[in-house]
Amino acid sequence: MERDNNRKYSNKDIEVFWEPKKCIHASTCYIELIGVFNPSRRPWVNMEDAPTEKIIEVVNKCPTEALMWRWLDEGKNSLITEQDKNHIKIRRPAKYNELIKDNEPGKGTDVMEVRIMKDGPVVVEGNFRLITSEGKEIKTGEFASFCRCGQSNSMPFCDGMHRKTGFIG
Amino acid sequence: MNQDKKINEVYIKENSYLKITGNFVLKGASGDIIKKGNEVYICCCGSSQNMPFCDGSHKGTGVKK
Repeated sequence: MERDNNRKYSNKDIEVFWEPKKCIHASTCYIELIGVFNPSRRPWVNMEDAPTEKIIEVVNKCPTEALMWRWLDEGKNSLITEQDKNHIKIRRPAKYNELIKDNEPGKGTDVMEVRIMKDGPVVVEGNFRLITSEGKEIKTGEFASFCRCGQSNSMPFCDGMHRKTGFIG
Repeated sequence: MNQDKKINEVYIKENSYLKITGNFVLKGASGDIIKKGNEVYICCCGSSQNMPFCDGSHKGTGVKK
């Protein structure tokens, strides 16, 4: 069986789940909270470096399901508000599908958001078609992270190489 | 269905730029809005002198992949 590298980190309040295969290197976590999420350190997550509320806030900003969290106290998990459900380990899949549905053309949320990540990729979120220079449509996405440093091994997508090459821009 | 809807597009010129067209908001690293729609060229060769925008530097960088 293929070995996954999924990890679980906890402090006294919550568990944070890390699924590296789902990471698109949007770099939100370490730009926001390098003390907790530091890709150069092992283990890369240090749950003691920030208050629980701050960690939750940053995990909620992860654009994928690579980072998720849940309360250790199960009773609290059932009291989570709608806006926080995205990254709750137990609730995420259903909610995620709802989000995609909400984003369908014609529902008024068809504005694409393009975010330049500091020294990292460009993240595109919304409804879009992805076209190559040969005119081939390779993906219709709700979300993608594109290489800006020119060094990715999985072009046109970001694979995290910008960090190793020290890309600035 | 939705025929009058403008379709958002990301066009990839390999090793050169991403051309993004449609209804978009471009945000910088700090979350500030740099630009709103309808067309922008983002550098993806790593060599632009005008980041994050393409300035034509990809010509001659030999960036491949």
